[in-house]
Amino acid sequence: MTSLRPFHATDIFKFNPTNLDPLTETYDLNFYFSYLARWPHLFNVAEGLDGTIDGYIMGKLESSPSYYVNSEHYLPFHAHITALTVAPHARRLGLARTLSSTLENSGDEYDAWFVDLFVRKSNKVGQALYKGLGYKVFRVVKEYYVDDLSDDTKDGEDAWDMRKRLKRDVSGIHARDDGENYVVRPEDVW
Amino acid sequence: MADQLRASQDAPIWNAIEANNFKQALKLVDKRLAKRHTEYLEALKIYIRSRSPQVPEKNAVLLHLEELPERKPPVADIEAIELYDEALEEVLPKSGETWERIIGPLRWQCVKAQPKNEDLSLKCFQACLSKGALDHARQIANSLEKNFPKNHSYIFWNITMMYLFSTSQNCPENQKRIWGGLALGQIGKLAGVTKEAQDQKQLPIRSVQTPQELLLLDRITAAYGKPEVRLEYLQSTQLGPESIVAKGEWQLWRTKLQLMETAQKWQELFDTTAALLKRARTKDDSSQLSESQLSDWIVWEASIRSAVELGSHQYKSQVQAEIEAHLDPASGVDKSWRRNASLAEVKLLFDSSTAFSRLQLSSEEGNGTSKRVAAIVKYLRGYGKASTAYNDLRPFVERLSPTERKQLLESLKNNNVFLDVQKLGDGKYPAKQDHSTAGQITQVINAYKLRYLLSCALPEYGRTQSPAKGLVEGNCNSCSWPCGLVCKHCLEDIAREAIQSYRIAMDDDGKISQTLLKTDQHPADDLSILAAMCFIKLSLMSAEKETEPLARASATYALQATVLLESAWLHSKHNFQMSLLLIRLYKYLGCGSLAMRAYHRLSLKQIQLDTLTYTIFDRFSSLDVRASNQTSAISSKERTPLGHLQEQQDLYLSSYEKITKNSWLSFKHGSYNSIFEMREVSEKLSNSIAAAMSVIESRKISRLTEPGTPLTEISHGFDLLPPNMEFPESTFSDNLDYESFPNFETSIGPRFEQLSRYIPSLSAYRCRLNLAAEKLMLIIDPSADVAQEKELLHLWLKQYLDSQKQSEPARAKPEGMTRSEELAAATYHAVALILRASREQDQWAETDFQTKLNKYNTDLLESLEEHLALIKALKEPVPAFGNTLHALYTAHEVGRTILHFCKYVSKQGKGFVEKQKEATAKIEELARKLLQLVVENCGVVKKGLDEGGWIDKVLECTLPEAQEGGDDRAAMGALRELLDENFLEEWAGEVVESWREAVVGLSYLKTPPKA
Repeated sequence: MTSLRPFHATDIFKFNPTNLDPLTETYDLNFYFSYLARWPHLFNVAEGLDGTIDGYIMGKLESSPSYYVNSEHYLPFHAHITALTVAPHARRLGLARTLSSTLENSGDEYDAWFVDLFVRKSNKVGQALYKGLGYKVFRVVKEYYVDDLSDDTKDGEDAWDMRKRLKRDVSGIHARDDGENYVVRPEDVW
Repeated sequence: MADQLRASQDAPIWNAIEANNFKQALKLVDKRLAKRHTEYLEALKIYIRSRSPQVPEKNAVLLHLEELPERKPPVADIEAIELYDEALEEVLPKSGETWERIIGPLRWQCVKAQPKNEDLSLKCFQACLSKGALDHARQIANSLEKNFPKNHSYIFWNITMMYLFSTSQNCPENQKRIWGGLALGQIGKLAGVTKEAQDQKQLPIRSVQTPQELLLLDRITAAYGKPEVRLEYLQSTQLGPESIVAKGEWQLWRTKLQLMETAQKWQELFDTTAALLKRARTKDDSSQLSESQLSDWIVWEASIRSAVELGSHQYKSQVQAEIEAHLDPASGVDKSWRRNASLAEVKLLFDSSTAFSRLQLSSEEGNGTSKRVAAIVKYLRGYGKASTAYNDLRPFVERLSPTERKQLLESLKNNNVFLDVQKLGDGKYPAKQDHSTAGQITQVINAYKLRYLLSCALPEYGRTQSPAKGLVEGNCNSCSWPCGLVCKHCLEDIAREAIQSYRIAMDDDGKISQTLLKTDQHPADDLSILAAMCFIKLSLMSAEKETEPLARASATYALQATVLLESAWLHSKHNFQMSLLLIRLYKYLGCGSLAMRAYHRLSLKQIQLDTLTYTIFDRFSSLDVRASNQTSAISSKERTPLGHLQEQQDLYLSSYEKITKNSWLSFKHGSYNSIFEMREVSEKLSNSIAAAMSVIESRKISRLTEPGTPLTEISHGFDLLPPNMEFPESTFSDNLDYESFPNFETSIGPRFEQLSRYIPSLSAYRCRLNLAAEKLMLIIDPSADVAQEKELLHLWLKQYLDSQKQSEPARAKPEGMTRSEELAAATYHAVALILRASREQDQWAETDFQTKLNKYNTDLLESLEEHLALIKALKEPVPAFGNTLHALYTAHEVGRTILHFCKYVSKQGKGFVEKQKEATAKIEELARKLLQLVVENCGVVKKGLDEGGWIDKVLECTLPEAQEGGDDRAAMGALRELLDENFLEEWAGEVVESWREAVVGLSYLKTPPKA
């Protein structure tokens, strides 16, 4: 079954079914709690019948700082998926779509231009999922990740910065069809 | 300008402080004070003195600080207060209570003196909040609200602080309701304003305006108000989930439905949920299902519950119609929400079969399959390709009648559940399971899990609930073979078939595995896990008649589970459930290094160090002890257990600051709900049982690996626990994660994690005893001679024993203890009583004193005798499994502690020594015997493992040659077919190597020379 609820601070004691998966990072408390403090409505959990955490999404709403406004990499007010994870046992049920649509709805409600996210270049499953949800590659961030989970011999891995337009971007001014060809450096990404 | 001037004047003083030249700094500050006396310079002087390393100077500073709150007029210079704050931190680090008594009032007085200084108020509010001085923070919030009436946030800060203070331990009992009631009254008024407002988009400052404020209203009303008022708010159009203020906050819907259910407003609940479900499948202007979330499972549950309670058939039909509308392929409903509708169909049938019994035909009559079984099969056909299907269906399968269970089991065994989807082209049903895709493998797994539930888990649970529990003997309902609480044949059957199925799934020429990422889990993993779980159960049920470890059936099954999981892990290196089971198995087998290897595979970090370290480190000090190699450059895999425990303790040390920092952020962003939640996390971490375990284990390991170090110097986080956690009234917070272990057991009985415990789990009872033992050891520690500290410890001992006396009934139920630990606890208790007697000088001359002392000594001698017998019973300790190692390490610690005790009591008052002398001699003799026996056993283990042939013995034990006429249902044959011979040998070699590595730790177990 599918049931959504807000992420509670005490869920950090219960999120191992998702966070023991290698593709889900476990951050320090500061990270989770700062999201709870700032964007509690964008941090949601999908739970199973016995209360097990099947997946969760962490998001935020923001824009680049104003001093960045003339930069070509400036980001207007948008929603960002910081983490979207589904436990191995709860995959192929459409939970990722369900969770991401909660953030998209919030983005629309707060009049954001788009939703974006980063995904590892090697994470083909993730990319296919996001493409299926309507996300497109906007740019490639060279060696955004400091490690490479698919290859122990490599030091870093590229990220795909993917975007989905929201209602505000009627004419698609913040979208790209050939984003794979736009390569930026990690320091260009705010 | 004034600040700059002060900074330039102070520069020489600060330079001296930075150079640690406190004498010079004091000289300079005195010179300035002589010219002009200011609050700041006085505070600076105190701060400089606080930096002095001398204890008398620090004590003097503390005395000075203690007087500050009473000073008239109060200190008004905030920089002076900040210096006092730092001075206190220097002399008494992390002194929450003292801070609240000294600095809290100073900060509040300072705000009171300058209430319009907003920056100052905010600074002091933040400081009080971060130090847990909630009453002062409340006062400051109140001042902010009063002095800045146009600031909407401060109104809610004040309410939040009143409520927070009312729920804190620091709030006096008689004030709790006062502050809670005030918070309720104030927020109630604000809610009233919102309710009455004409324009919901232009609300006045003093009103409820955000979703977080609504959640705060609900929280406070839940705590101090009436449930009907709470529901009333949520039902109003201005404060409920559909209000403009709520901005679609989903939690409000959840609470509203729950409250309606509690209030038994069935008609209203039914109408509400019916409307929500309809909206969920209704497209908006842009043809999107923008409200699909409204078909959340909790809505379906509430709808079905209300339909059942209302009783009339029309409601059931209405729910059924809604289900069908959701499942209509043209509805466009997403699959996660469609799944809810499908499961709702099952639930409706099950729940209504009693409620609408008069309206429904009996399901079990007739010649077909029961309707309820058919519903389960239908769901399984629709969703069997997802792992969650088993969890979804489990509660319903548990409700089937015996006849229905049999029907379902037969269908599963005959493999015709997935008939429709697997029908072959020629119309014949497949004779074998189909493993050609990941989805089909998952279907097969779900079928096996259900078979396991029906033939093993449910009957076992039923038998444990029977009044004749433990004496159950009879024929198994599933297989008809004789069985006890657990049916060996059913477990063997499932294990065998699951392994066979696993082998077929893996033997696909890489068709599936080549499509997987390195980080993926293999879809067939659960087949191997299920089989391993059966082996573990078989291992635990096997009677231990033979003394030689590798001749035991329990060892055979444990090794089979281990090798199966290790083999499966090769194909699925990120399956954490395999690693969790392997840690448990290797600890049982006495293979500490292999348990560590499995632990490293989990790659735990951050909060996981609180929730999952128990899986390996509980009792690790009596499994595999190594010296610390902790250096900053070391990687996680190279870290010793002590290094890991230190890393865990760092988490606790840093967590408080992180949480308070974010509480402040929550205030700033108006996220009131998270403030209370973070506070709960903070409390849970402060009292964490895993923190206590970490401290205990690291101290035990250090005692062995650093024997010369005085115990007082071995901190290892002892200070990070709240004081007096060893007292019976202390409560530990159990944050441990038991749920990440695989679990295919019933949802009504214990989880597999609990059923698969080879030794008792971590318990608050054991932690308390261990912490008390730690303090006892500090008293008798021969390497530390800190008279003042020992006096305090004796005072503690008296209070501790008094508290034990008062809670006698609690002591009668030991939890989570092995026999070795029970004996150690009895020994330490007798030691504690004797130590207390050694200080009761006024009673030494009394007539019954000797009788009392004799009784303590007799108890002590008895527990030592029993311990000796326990170690003597380890006749064939090679290879040393976990229980043997644990017994040896524990006995050694007891023996060594007793020798310290004997030495200590011999130095007590002459009058006491005379009375105790004879008993001490006997006690010492027994302790030495115990230690000697431990050392001899360690020698036997070491010598035994030095011999050759162990790899063959492991192989023989894991896969013994089948005997003629043996049980053809045994899973061993299937396992043999699965495993590659080279892999098997290599693994057996690793097991033997791990046993040999564990011997290194045994070298720490020595007998101290006689004085």
